[in-house]
Amino acid sequence: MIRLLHTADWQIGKPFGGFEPELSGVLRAERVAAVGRIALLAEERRCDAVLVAGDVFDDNFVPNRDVNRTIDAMRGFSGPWVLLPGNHDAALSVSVWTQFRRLADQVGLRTAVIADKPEILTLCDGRLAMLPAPLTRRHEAADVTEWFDDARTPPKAIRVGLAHGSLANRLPEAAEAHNVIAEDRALLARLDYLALGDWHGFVEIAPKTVYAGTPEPDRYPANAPGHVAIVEIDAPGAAPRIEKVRVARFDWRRLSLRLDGDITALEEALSVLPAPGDTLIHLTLSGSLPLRDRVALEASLSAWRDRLFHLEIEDADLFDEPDEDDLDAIDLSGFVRTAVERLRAKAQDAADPERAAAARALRMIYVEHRRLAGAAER
Amino acid sequence: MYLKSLKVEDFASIAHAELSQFSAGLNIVVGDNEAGKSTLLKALRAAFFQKHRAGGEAVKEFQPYQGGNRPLVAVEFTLDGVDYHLEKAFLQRQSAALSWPGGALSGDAVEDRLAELLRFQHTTARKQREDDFRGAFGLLWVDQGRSVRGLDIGAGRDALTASLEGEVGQMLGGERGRGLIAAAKELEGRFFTATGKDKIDSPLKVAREEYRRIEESLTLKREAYRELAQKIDRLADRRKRLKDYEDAGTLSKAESALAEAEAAAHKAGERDREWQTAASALKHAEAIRQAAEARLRQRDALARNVDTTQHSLDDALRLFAEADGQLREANAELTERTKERQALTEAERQAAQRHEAFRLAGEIERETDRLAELTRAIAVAEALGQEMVEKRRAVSAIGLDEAAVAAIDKAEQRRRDCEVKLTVAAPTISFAPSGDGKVVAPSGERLAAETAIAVTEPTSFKLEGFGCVTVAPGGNAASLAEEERAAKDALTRLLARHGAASPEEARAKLAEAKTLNGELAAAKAQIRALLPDGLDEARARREAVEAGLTRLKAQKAELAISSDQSMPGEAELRATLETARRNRVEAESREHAARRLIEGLAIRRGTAESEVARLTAERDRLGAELSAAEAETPRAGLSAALGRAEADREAKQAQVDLRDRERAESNVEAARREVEDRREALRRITQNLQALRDETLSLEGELRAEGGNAIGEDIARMEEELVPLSKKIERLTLEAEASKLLSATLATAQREARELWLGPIKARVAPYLRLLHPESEIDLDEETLEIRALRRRGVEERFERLSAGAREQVAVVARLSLAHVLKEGGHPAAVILDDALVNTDEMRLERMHRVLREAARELQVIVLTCRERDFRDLGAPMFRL
Repeated sequence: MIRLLHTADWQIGKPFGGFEPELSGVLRAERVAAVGRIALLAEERRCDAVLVAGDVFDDNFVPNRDVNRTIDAMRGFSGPWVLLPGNHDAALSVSVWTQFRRLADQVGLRTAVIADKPEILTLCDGRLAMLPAPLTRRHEAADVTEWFDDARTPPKAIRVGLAHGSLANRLPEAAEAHNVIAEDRALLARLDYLALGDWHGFVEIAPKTVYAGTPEPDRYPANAPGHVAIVEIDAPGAAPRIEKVRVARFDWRRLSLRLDGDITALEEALSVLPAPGDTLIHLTLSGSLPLRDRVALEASLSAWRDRLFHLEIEDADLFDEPDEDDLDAIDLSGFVRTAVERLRAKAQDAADPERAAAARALRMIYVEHRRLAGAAER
Repeated sequence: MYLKSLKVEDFASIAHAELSQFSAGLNIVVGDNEAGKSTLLKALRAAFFQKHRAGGEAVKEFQPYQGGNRPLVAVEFTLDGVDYHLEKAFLQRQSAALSWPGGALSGDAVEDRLAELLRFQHTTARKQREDDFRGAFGLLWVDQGRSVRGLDIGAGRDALTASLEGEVGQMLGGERGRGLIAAAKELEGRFFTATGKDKIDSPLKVAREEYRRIEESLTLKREAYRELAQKIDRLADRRKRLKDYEDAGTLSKAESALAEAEAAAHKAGERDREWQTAASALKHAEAIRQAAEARLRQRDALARNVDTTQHSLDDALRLFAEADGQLREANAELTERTKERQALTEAERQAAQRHEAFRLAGEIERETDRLAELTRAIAVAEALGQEMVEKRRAVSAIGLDEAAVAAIDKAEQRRRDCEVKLTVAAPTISFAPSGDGKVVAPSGERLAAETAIAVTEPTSFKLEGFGCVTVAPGGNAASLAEEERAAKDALTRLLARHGAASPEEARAKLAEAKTLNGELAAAKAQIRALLPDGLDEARARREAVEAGLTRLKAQKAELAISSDQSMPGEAELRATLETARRNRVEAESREHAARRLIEGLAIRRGTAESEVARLTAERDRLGAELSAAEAETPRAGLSAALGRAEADREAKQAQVDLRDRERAESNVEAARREVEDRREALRRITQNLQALRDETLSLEGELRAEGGNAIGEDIARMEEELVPLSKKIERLTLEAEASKLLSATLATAQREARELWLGPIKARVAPYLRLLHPESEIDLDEETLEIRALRRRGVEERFERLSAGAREQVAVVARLSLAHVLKEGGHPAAVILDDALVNTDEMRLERMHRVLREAARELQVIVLTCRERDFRDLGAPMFRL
């Protein structure tokens, strides 16, 4: 029996430029921390090897700092690491792997095996024959796993393929024509397990063929990121036992709420979050609200923005719909009322080029009116 | 609002004044200057608007001028149907009391109620100013001298607005409206300047700049990344090529090819050198052979030269002998020809002499004849000349000419005419003596009887026997007789002068002279015929002929030919002479030819002679040379040497041919080129390899340096950064647009609202204004509510540029209109004008009266004036101070 930890798509060095610098630093650091958790897990579960199916680094040019921290995090596992160059860190003439080798040598990490050549690697005293399909370019037109079919391995050795790319006809988005891998490669090449990377969610996509996904999510997903696979294979030809283990810290979620004259749904949706401080929310709001509710919503969102790790709001489809009460609150009569009525007419006229501006202007005057009223009360 | 009465005591200059029973319409208060009109108005203001407890400057001026120290004002007025009595005392024992049917207030409560009734607010300022607002009501009162300043609302504008809001409802939004406008302006001010331009620190602008900065930076980074990728590709390519070189062993192959080529070239060089040695040996042998050959050729040439020279000499000698003989013959010929020519010349000379002598003889004969002829002619001419001299002398002796004869004839004629006349006139006497009486004429002549005698002058006749009878012709006869005498005298004088006795004689003499002249002419013609040139010339010619003849004779004499020799004829002589000349000429030409022949021959002979000399010398020299050469080496020796040299050269040639064949086989040039090519190829390969290694090293170095620069991360980060930034820009753009829209919408609505309530004021003003200034309207400023301009027949005139009269009229009607509007809105409104129309002319004052009467139908109007007569005719209640 052999026990492997299959992971992929660490993408160390991903910058998270869309976030505030403070947050992006945390997100970045967490990717390295996830490697540390994987090492501990592998050590804990006495894995024979850790297979990283490509995209260890986010780019072929990452700062030494990231490489060094990764190497440090890997020290938690004493067994071998098999690192496969993927499309983000392809084994070019000079690549992050050149850098990795140099820095690993410097600190004396000996357990890392860089599978940057399509050659059989024999590990675990000959019990495990690794068939890696490294990418030497970002995009390969040909199937780089083809050579698996004819690769001769010792009969006692368990044949495990390691590749990075899209399994033909299996993934929901068949957009990427690059780095395509035959869907029946495991079968054709008589593999006991084919460890894949590139798809960020965990999915057993074909017989003996698994995408482990990224261990720490890096975007708002529709799949299931944040896991590793622990695979046990008893002998060549035996069916692998695959265990999905969560290792992620951050919870990235998409939420869509429709608010029609009522904002209670927001509280309901957010208050159930188990760990708001480690949660990133992409919130899509739609519907329409009177100005008073809209103002209240803004206040509520502002509070949640503070509590959550990150809150991103998409409210293009949430419309202000000022009603008479709103307008009366601003002014019952006089020229202000005239102006407000005019703005409302503009905002309701779909053909008016200033429609959006008028709606926003209404909200603004509403807010200002409240502010003035508040000041007057004080 | 209706002021019913006013009582003032101890108030500034007024000690006591009481005006009661004001009418609800128009009231005139008349007072002289210093009578206290303005003080009255001040007191009224104080009663309504001044807190009775007030101190300081504002109330100090209420201090009475004389006695007393408690200014007191009491007013009765009706408002909204309620009659009020108000009384206030200032400075000392201040008090305030307001009472109405069913109610009364005192103290500060009075002030609050007044503010409520009259809708004004007491100022909170510690120090009160004159123009501090006292409500719309107060604005209707025009102080002295202020009417020309327009409505002159000043700081009261906002308050007026606020006050007016009462009747235009909430239209102006009040305090909240102003607050919102300010807030909207502030929102807009985040993005835009006052002039609507983008503000320099507008968040939108800042965000856009940030976006642009990132984009620029991203472009640079992407470019750098592309370069990096290219470098990586290049490195892979270079490494592959290096490997290809190594795999193919290109370098060592090139090296061994070079070594082979060099060996081949060395061998070829050897062959070439051998060939060169043989070739130079051949060249040497050939030189020897050529020298021998040359020497033999020279010897033969010398021998041939000797022979040739000898032949030439022989020819020259023969030529010389020939020329010499010919020359001698020619000389003999010439001698002969010369003799012949001399003989013929002599013959010619003699023939010529004979011919000459003959010619001279003829000449002498002709000249002698000529001389004789001339001599004769001269003699004849001389005789004729002598004759002519005589005849001329005879002619001149006659001394008459045609003219003289004519004159004589004329005198004769005249005498005859006189005689005839006298004869006619003179008495004729005829004596017929009886018997033999004798009558003797004075002349003593006896007169024949019966003879009629004409008596032309007193004539005494002696009559014998009788005595003397004197007859004297009388009258005419006497003068005629005188005339006749004169004519006779004249004739006689003429005849005497010309030596003629009578006219007939004169005529005969003239005829004679004519004959002589004719003969003279004939003689002259004869001489001219004989000697056309004249006598002297003829004589000279004769001398010349004589001299010529002498010469000819001398010439003839010179010729040694006796004239007695028989002379042949002219023709014969001439023929002989011609023949002799021809002969002589022919002889001369023959002689000449002979001489030329000699000249030619002499040259030939000389030439031949010198050639002979030269050839002789040449032959001798060559002969000596040949002998000397033969003595040194005989010709046979030379010939043998040539034979030997030729044989040696043949042998050397064969050697060269052999080496040349060998050389051609190895081709040294091709071998050399091969070496060069190989060397160049090796050099290039080495260079290429070096370049590849260098480039690889350099690329590796560069890429190592760039390995950790995180460029990919930077690009990804910036790309991600742009997403929220563009959302932010979108949001800010919307906010900027919204703020502008909000501000503009509010401003527009506010302006329209103002228009709305300015409308009624304008409408009210219109009819009043038409009374004063037809076809005109006023233009009120929406913001300040001030009168901006008067528009007359479409022409705008700024208010401050109008005349003082026009300004006060416009201001008063505007104020009246305002009062109407306020009154309609339920405000207290009463208009008080203090000397407000002092600048107005009479005509317009008249019209102003109508305006005031009109206004007073609805309003209470109180006019304070110092000019009673201006308002006397108004028929309004009049109060005097």
